[in-house]
Amino acid sequence: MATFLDVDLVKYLCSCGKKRPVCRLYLCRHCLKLRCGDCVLHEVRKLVDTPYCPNCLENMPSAEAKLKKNRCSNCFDCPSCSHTLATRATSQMVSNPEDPNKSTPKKMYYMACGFCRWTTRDVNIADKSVGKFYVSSNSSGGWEDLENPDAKRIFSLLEQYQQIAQKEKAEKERKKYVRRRSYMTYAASIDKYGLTSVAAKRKSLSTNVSNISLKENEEAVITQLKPAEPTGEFEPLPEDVFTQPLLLDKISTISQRHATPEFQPSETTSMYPVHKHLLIRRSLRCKECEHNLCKPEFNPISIKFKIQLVALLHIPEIRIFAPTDLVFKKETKVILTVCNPAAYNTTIELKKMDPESDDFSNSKAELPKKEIILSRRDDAAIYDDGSQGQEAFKDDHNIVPFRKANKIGVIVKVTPQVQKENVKISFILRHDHRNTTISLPSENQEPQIVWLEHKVFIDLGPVKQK
Amino acid sequence: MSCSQVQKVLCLFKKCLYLFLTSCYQVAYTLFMNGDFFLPPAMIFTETKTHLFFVCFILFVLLFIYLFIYLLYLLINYYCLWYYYLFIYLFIYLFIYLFIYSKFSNLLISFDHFIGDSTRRTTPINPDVVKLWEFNDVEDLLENLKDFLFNLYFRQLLINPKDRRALSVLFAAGHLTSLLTLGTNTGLVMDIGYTEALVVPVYEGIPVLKALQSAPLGGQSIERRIEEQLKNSCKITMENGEEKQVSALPECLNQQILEDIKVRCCFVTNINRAKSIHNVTVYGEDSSKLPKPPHGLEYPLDGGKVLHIPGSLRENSCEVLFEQDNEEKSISTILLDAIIKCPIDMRKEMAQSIVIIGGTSMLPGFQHRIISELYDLMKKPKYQQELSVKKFKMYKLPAKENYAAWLGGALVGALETLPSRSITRDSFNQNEKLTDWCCVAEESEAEKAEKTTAKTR
Amino acid sequence: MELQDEFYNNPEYIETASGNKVSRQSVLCGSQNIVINGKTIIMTDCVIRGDLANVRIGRHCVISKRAVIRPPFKKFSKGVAFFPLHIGDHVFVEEDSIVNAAQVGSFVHIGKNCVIGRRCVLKDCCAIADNTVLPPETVVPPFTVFSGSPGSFTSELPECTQDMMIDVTMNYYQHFKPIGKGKERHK
Repeated sequence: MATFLDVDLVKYLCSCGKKRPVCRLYLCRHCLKLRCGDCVLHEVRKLVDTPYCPNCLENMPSAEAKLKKNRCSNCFDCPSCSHTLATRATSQMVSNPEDPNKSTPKKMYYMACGFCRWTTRDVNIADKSVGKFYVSSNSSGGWEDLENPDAKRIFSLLEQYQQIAQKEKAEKERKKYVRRRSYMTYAASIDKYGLTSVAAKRKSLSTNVSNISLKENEEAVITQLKPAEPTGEFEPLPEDVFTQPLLLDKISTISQRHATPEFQPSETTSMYPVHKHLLIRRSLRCKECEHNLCKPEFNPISIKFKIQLVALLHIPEIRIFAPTDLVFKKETKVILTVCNPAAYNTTIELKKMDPESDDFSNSKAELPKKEIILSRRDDAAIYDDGSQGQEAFKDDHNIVPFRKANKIGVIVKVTPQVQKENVKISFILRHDHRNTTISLPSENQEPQIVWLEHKVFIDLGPVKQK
Repeated sequence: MSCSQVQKVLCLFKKCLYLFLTSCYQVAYTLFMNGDFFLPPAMIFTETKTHLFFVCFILFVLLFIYLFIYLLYLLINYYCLWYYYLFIYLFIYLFIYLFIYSKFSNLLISFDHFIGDSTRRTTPINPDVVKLWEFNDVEDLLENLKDFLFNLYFRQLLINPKDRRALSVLFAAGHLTSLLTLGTNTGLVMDIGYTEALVVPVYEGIPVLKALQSAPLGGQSIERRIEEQLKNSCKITMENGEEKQVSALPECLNQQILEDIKVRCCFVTNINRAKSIHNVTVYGEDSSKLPKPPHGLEYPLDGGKVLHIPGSLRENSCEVLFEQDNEEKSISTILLDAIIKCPIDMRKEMAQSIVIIGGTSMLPGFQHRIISELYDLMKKPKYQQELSVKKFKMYKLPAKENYAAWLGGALVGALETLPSRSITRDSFNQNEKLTDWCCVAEESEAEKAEKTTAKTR
Repeated sequence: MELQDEFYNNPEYIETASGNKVSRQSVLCGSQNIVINGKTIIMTDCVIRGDLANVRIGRHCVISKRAVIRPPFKKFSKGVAFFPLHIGDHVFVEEDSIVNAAQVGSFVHIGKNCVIGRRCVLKDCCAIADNTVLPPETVVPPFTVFSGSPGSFTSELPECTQDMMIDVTMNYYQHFKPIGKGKERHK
């Protein structure tokens, strides 16, 4: 588990040149190269990888999610601490419509934060009744959303700009066909913003900068919006700023304000619940051969994968066996463990790295010269004692001190050449790999065996100080 | 014993019993609040180890009650002194509490874990945010950009990058785009952000670069001023009640706290008060002439420390924007300077279409102050001679100031004509150069040079 | 780094027939309501409150020192009810954490000194960073890491989390070795 073990001590070189722990790497079985999260194509498959709410874990079609601005319609975040709000039920006495003298209890709902104790009642949002809560045409389950007072204006502006842009595009098209080289009177605004237009203007000084002038044959009439009016009057500071003490609890923090950028309330009394943002799961694709490396299942709760080519399940994993005392300029035996995840016996070999391409290691390491065979992974082996069948490999105990199921220890003699820094070594791990993709199971062929080489970088920790 | 004495004793006995019951109740209540009921008796006897504790405990309590009542009788008979009961009560109370908390503390989940108020968070939302512009070399920048885009696509937009490829790039100045949100194309735009304030007049959609003005004033300078004042004169009360100077504990202040103080406590005061403050702080007048400062406040820091923020800090910090420096520059003078640098026929229009964007301008009282500051500056001979503007007007944005530039950019981005206006990937690959103002300047310089060479020939 | 051997005082632990190792210094209240499926380690000073409701712990779990496993409750108008707590397989709970969840899936890692609030639901393959406080009723989706107070989504786990968790919990069990002479095997 990436969060428990110190996985960053041993890193493999990805084909893109980055050093990554093996659990963050993928092995493309078509290119037979290591890939990391940075050099694969992350993609969101249509209809399959749909956004889901991290709270109610319900899928939402992408189109719908887009409409709802990637937020869940039923789950809300606390505006104060950003934790999910919980719905609480209370009963309220409601006067009976038939008999005004009698009142009946009615279940009402409000939302409360389990962490900071914020409730919708704090900001005077009325409780919702059961009927309203469940049967509601409103998308947010009965809770009205705050409306941005400027939204209308912004949309009408956008509409206007789009009309202008369309017109401009149409004129350009026409210019192509008619080849009429007139001084086009460019529609207002858009063209003139931006630097490219400045640059363009320098090239062709002919562009006439004037306001919109409609051509006779122009059908579309652009609705000219009234520009905003500047004012000379602004609200002065209220007098009580100088006379009243400041209540820090009543003023929202920056992160609370930024949770709702369009409102940015400065007082805690005007904070409204925020719809929960959705999450998405991605599939990964090799950038070179475009084959899938990782393809999760449809259900967001599922932890199964349709395709999963993580390197951890395909290439031998190297770990440091135990912390060793390293002394400056003294040869020390360091035991590494190599674990075979494959379902066949794998032969491995550790090779020296070309010193020119190696900018990592700072110490001398003597590697075992022979090839070593790793036994295959056997899930049933944990029920055995794990003692039989070990003699078959005839291990040299100066190289392989122990062997346990699909895991072996390998001795590497390290002579630290540094005193202050961490001792780092690097080498090439060469192993055979049975490529199971090319041969289809129907063809009764032997799977193709290839040799793979990976550059491995190990941080052995600091030198022991005397 | 007399009759009255007996009554007294009975009354005291009742009192004691009441106190004892309330203490019991409190214990039961704490257990209840934490979800631990007293275990049902059947359960107690089926369990072996821990529940023997409970049995013993309950027996012990019963014994204690018996002893207690006995003792009570004795005491009442002999002394009839009320403080004995108090003493006994306290003893029992303490005993029960200590017993429960020492033995069962790991069974009880402290309720306090969940109680925090809206203003106290133990961790900020993202403690290790890497800012896009915090890089040492190109590789860092690439890494930052990659993370930024990754977050954008997979955390915010939740779409396939293939579906929304960045085919072209348009670099547009925030000053221009923010005008789009107003539906005009002329305005004197000031962007006052974190590090600097930049004024660019835009006329009919064209930035008047000649009149560009800037000053290193913004959120950062306010924060520096706050820090300075805190270190000079303010105190922190430690957890143990000891008071210490802020300067002795520099690790208590970080950028986040300073920003929080700026946003939540500070404001831009009105011009009359500001003048008398300037007279004292800048021109060194007697501090007795200062107006009565607003209320100070106790600002809670981590670990029970409390920072005392004086009211004067709240008022004075933002004055850094309006105090004129050695070059007589403040954010209001650069606005006027920009107008002066504009061609004479544009000036009036510029003065009546001021737009202010950027987060720092969201401080309370900022807009009002700017306008009154401009009128005040116009009284100075320097500006009176140069400018004949009578009226200043400002736009109200249909958005918050800190994202107005983005909103304008988003409007441009939603248009069909965007590809033809922006730099495509292909064209960038061809000449590997992005047009910006520097390029324009270079080009025009080159043109000039050509002309001069032509002339000399 | 490979996991290192961790030794325990043999008489202190009871090893059951299914391979569970339970410290005698732990507190299992209502043991008839506690089901531990096998090869699970429950260390010193742990508390499992089976007396409140059923607790089921899967195979190959590790409950570290001073952790508290407690079924959650819910307040109703008529009183309080406790709900059973299910913990999946290959779950690692580190020291001093308090688990009040309604459900903990398989292959979950809970860090040191965490508080998992009432009726939280931790799905399979998720992780909670050290010192996290998950407020009541939080849902943690698969392949996410939650941290902070209140706990919130901060990063993602690799796709091979399942295999790594199996590896770690099984290795931990193998490296959890006794020293000293043990008492006779407990049934």
